[in-house]
Amino acid sequence: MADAPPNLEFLDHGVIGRLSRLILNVRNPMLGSVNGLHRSATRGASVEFAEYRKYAPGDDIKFLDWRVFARTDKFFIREFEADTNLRCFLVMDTSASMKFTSTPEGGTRFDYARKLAATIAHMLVHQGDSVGLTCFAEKTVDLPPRRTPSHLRQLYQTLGEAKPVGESNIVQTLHDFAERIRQRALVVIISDLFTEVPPLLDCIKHLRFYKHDVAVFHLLDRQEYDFDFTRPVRFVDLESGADLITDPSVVREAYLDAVQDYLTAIRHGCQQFNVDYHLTYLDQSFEGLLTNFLLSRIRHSKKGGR
Amino acid sequence: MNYLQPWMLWALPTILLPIIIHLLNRLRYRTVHWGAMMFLLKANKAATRRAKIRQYLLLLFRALVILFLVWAMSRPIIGGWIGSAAGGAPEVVLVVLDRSASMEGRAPDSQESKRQHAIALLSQAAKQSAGSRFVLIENVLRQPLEIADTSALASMQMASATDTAADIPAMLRTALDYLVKNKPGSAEVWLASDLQASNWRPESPEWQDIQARFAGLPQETQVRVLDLSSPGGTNLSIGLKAADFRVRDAKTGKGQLALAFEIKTNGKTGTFPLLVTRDGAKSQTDVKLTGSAQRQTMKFDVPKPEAGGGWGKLELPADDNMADNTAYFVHRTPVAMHTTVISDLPLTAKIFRFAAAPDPSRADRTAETLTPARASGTRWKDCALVVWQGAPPADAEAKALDQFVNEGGVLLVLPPGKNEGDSAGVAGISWGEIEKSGKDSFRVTAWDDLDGPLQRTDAGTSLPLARLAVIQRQMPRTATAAAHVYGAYADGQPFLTGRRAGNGYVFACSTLPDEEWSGLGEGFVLLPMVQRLIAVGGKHLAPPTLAIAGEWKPETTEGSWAPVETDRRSDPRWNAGIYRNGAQLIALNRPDSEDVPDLVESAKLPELFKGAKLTVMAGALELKADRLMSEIWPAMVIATMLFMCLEMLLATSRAMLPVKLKPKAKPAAKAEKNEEVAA
Repeated sequence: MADAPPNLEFLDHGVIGRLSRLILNVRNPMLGSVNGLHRSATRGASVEFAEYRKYAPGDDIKFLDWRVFARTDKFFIREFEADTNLRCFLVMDTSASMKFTSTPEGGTRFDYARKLAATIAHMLVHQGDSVGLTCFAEKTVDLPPRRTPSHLRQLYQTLGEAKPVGESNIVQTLHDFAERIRQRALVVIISDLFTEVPPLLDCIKHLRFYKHDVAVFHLLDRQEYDFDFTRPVRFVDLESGADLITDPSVVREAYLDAVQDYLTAIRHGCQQFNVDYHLTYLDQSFEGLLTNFLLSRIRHSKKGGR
Repeated sequence: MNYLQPWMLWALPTILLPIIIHLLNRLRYRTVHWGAMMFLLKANKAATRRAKIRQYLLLLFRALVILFLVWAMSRPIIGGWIGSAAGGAPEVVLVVLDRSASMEGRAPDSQESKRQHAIALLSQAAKQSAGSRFVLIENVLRQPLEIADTSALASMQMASATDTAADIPAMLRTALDYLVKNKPGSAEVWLASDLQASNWRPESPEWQDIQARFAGLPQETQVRVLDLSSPGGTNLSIGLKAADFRVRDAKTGKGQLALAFEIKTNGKTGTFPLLVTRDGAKSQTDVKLTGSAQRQTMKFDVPKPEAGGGWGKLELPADDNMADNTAYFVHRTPVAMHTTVISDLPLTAKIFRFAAAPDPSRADRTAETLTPARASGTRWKDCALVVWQGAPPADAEAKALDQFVNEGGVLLVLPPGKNEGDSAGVAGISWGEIEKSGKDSFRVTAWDDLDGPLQRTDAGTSLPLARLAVIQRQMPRTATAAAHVYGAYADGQPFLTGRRAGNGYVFACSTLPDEEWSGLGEGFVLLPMVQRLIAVGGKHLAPPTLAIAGEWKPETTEGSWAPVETDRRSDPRWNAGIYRNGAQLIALNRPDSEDVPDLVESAKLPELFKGAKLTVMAGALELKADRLMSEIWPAMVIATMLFMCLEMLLATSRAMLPVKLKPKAKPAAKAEKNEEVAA
């Protein structure tokens, strides 16, 4: 399995190269197993001073700040930030609706999602963090997080073999996922999120409850947003196969209203639960999106005091 | 509603075009595999009822635009009378024009007579039927007359005012004769009339014949009736009943003129001036009207009239019908009506002499009695009536008698009073056996009270024939069977028979006036009967002075009849008035029937024209000629433009904006995104 050359067409080395100077940061402390780039929720042994605190019996006296004791005759412990590694879960929607594209030459939503997942995975492994992959549709394919390059290869292979088929079950998948991954992690959801908003927000709340850093790439085609049809169209549902013949000029207004309501609800929900939400159109540059994503995280973590 | 270009209506299905285009558009859908089905389902469910209504309205407007356009192009006309829905102009249009006297009546607020109005309507209608040949059939001559130019109808003599009656069934028969003879491919009959019942005679059996003939025509014939009937405004009419001149002074010839006339009114009573013109001199008297019809006799002392007679007229003031305000008369010194009674029964001869000349002071009735043996040498042609009883004359005398009858005299033959066997009597009449009644005398139970010597009196009362008791009778056996039975006994045997012979008549009575024969001698039947026979027989002695316009035909072809009054248009064929031919004068009046205002109910018309396709234009009198068939395409075009505007308004309103225009929401979304990035 490991020897077979993986299909890497979804990897854009140019983009990876250009983005290699950036790191993918988390916005809140993680609890990693090894030293890493990321702030830990615990105090640790980094060079970065964190705080003083009163000595409590049982504390290791090697952390006593003797100089403070000399001046004040009180025992203070010097604490340092711990740096730890990051566990990231890429949760990718592989339902049939991901197959959609309005511009066939521009690639499908699934292609875009795969490219995004692959690039993020590559970056994470290369900065020493572990990355896992969950592809969900009707069935869920799970890859536990590892930080080895061989794992990355396996991950690519899994991505390469994934096919956008079946109906999406995002709500159930995310709830299960939240229950399974108890340890703090970065959860990157890549999906079209075509489901009812309140259950979806429940899932996100669930994830946030376990203190996961949640980032969402909401992939929309421009046509799904504009609905720029002029003639009557027979719409066939990619997932269920159900079809509907309608005159777009009749339903357009209602459609646009529905889309707006939906997007507003999602955006508000994500704001409320502090989710890193990115509404992405498929015609947007993939590199620009990632750059924005990375930079906003770096900025955020700096503000957070690193 | 009718159409000038009805074939355009075949284009009407094009109003389905927008619907078809819509359906085609719907059919030509593109299949799109769609991810965001949830929004679409939601949108489709909410499916914006307003947008759908707008769509349907748009469809409706587009259909209406086409509908009204097609409608306008088919050039609809309203009026509903003329112009056929299916086949365009017919080959022949028979214009059946009633120009009877009653057609000179006016609608209450119009200056035009009904006839003029009808002509205006007809010529207007004819313009729309330009490809047709027009044939006029009017009521006087009833000769089909082809009209080259229908606009000239108003000035045509054959369509001018008359004082005649109209015989609508006869006119329709003429029309049918024309159709049968000329066999046009398609024909229409345009009948303009005021529906006067006396002209239409709706009860007449002729109508069944007309119906059958219409039904039997090879081509379907449309009958269009222009109903010009009107409730009638205030109208007075005057009709002359008699103009009797009686010589009072035999020396000077002075006498008294008695004018019997009848004034009819429809409601208006009061005192009216009556203008009397006698020999050109005018005078005025007042007539007081109390009822709807009033008979009156005016008497004038007049000097001896000229040889041809005196003339005059009675005039009522102007009202809604100018044609029935004048009655003309001609009076003349009456010609003596001589009766010769030939009988070998003295009593019979005496009774007949009294019946023929009851007033010896009057010079206009004279009578003499002769026995058959002395009859030879009588100047028959000076007689009005010859009563013959007894032995037949000799051959030469019989020939003279036949000639008298042929020239217009009346011969009344009485039973010989004895059984003669089969030998032929006077005028070829042989007589049967004498029959005697038993206890009950013979009774006359049926007689012709409409026509002939036993008809009702002018006042309308029947002769008292039922009171006549006949004890003995002797039946005539007429050589020629075609004798009309004027009166009959209860057992069906004839009481009085008559037949026409040449210009005159031969009558035969089956009883004698003697007491042992019958009660005829009492005179109540005999006197009117004999006087009437004299009147008929006297016609050949003196030409008539009164006649009915339209019915009167000049008896001689010599000379020409010219109107005495030249100030009005007069044609002796159909105009009332006084006409002179040499010394002869005649007064023509309109028939009395024209003054009867009874109308045929318009509900009855379909029944009368059962075999034909009938269109009735009721209330034509109120219809302006230019409104008869006004085209309404301008209204249609305006409607078309209106619907186009509506369609445009609706199509460009916000809800229907073309999809290609970007919605406003997008830049806002982008801005939000930028904010996010900035955050």
